[in-house]
Amino acid sequence: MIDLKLKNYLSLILILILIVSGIMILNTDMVKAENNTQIVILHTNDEHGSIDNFAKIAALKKQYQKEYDDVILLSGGDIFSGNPVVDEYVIEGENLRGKPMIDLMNEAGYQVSVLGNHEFDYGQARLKANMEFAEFPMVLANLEVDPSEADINQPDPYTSIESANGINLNFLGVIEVQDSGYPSTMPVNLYGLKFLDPTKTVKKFSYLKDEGDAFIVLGHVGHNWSQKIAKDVDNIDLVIGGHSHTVVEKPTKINNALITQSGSDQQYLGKIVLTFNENNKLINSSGELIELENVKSSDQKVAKKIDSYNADVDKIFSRKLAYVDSSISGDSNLGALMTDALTNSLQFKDLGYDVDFGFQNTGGIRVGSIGPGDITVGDIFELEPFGNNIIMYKMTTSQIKDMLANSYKRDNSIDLIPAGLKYNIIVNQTGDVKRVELKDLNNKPIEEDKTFTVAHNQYVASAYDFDTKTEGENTYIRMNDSIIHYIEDVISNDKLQSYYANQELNRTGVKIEKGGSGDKIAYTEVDISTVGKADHSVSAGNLFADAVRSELNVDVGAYPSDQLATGAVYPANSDLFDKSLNLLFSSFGYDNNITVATVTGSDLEKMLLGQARYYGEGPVMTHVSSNVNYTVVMDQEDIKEIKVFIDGKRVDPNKEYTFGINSYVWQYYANAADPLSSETTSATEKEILVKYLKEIETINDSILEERITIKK
Amino acid sequence: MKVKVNKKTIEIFKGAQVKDVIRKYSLEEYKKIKNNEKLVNDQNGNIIMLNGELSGNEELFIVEK
Repeated sequence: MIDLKLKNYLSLILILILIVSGIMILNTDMVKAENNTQIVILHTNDEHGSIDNFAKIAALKKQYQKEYDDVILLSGGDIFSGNPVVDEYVIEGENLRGKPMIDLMNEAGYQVSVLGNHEFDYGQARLKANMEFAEFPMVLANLEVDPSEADINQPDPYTSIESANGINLNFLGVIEVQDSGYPSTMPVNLYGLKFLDPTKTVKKFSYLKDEGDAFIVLGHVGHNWSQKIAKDVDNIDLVIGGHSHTVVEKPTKINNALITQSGSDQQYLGKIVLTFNENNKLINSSGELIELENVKSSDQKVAKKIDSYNADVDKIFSRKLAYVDSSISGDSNLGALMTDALTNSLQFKDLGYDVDFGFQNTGGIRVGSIGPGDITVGDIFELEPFGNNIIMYKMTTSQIKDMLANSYKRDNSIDLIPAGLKYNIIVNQTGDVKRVELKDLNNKPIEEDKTFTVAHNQYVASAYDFDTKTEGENTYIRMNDSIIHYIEDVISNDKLQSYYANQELNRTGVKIEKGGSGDKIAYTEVDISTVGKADHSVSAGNLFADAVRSELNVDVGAYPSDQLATGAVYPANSDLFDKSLNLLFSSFGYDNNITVATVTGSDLEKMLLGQARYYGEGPVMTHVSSNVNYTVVMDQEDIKEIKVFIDGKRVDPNKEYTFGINSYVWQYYANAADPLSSETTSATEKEILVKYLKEIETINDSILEERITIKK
Repeated sequence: MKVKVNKKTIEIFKGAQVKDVIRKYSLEEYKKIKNNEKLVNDQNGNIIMLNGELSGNEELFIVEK
């Protein structure tokens, strides 16, 4: 009986020992037996020019070198493209694009990288220079270089690293190949290069397993393709991926190969632990991701170098592209500049595209003006900070018209600024789009039933509603690069000045024709217009400002010009309906209210001045009620002063006045002043205007008066 | 090329990134992802970043964070 109990007890202990041993085997950090060797592989991929975490990566490498037998640091490719500090690194006229990345990878101790598709983005000459500058091999196996045509040398297909205790690791590089036969970059940069199937290539090199102790594939092919390679090819121990920016928190095994990837942009550092036994046989592998935001340690030498490169931003952004005496202002002119870069750029011609039309959404035009003075790289990155790629389509005339009608309907206002054509959206008095008129830049109608090559930025290509004849191709040329190229290499400084800065370009318009019916609010004897809304008084702005003054009994009624629809004229001698108002006042789509503030005369002038200067679209940013007029004093292109008059008398700087304006923009006006009080109406802007119009019944020529004087 | 988002087939230009196909699927969902309210997963449940590059016939899922 006692023996039986003892046996059971011993059995229990044995089971516990086995369980604990099992747990220890599962936990890689605990499999380290006396004769085992543990090698850590640290990996990033798709850095895309991110440099700020290199100091942390270097520090972690040093830390793990103390904790493990050896540490190898590598990249899964696409180190370039995505950060102007790296992509626009042109210093004192010398093209050094990509250099900061390589320099920091050298300093951080990278030992191997695979060539990703974006490594080709700067062209072969720069890639060759970067590969020569790299103190680590940039491997690629599925590439055949024709030395008589190409400018890069044949890269090594793989590299072998002899690690601790003589353990030999072989790292093979492969890149994704699309149906076109090329990786995802500009084909124009791929002359003399032939790309081979990545899976077949890995199979061909799988003998490397027998020539070393571990066969590791650096697969810049996307996570799905990494899994396929592991499934189709035996003998792979590890696939470190890239391209799809996949965050593999818990790597899984396929066919004994561990598959991993560490997101992108240096947010994560992958950590793989490979454990070899005394015979150098790989007995365990596991991985995890380290979120670099949470890492506190930092290598000071690398950190200093990062600071130095980041400090070069000023040099990079201050590179002068052109000079203009007066500014290029407003969505129409800036949008024309941006889209003309698409239709006139040699970059796209080099790719084989003869671009007929280009389109830019106004939401993607991020400044009100550039210039006067030097136009720099930094100006263009402020104008288009997104780095959107350009996508090419074939579209028919009717498809273009439908796209423009759809874009107008998004907010009942013109949105897409074109190159290569002009267009008018024809709506009836209640805003229904009746048709779209297309004309070339010489005002000749665009032929029906024709097919054109059309360039869109990446946002329009994916967020707008339109049909095309072709599925669309990413050119991998960024919009901001295209504008820089256009200004620097294509257009003369004189043309830039005379065409874009010295005139107002109107390639779009909204024509409101009679028709439609609804709830009649009033009758208008005169055109109600928004044309020239930032250059002088416009009747739509005057009308609303009058309504604010009348309904809210304020000293100054106002309406901001940037909230008016662009280029709209409501026809004279016609009824005005509820829906008609949205054709003129864009802010009505947002149910804004009116904020009534009490300000001093001095602050009133400061607010109007601040807003005019800040926005930069034109000197007139505020339309005012009929009892008010103001003078904008210009000093060449600069707005020097605004003088406000109420009932013909300059406002008293110390006297208090009430001022009513759109509640959304009020915060921007208030920035320039110190309001004494403010209160927002519960009624919306539209409700206030409708009430006013129903009271006056007929709109007369009082709204046509000029209430603003520009004094140069 | 064709990519599935939440089992719906989306046609998108060649060389599209994850953000492109999500915008084409739904601008509302795209905004939620940008605001860190939702995430994009691949068919294995891994997170994919919005600037990830796509090939045809991939499958994505928009999931709550």
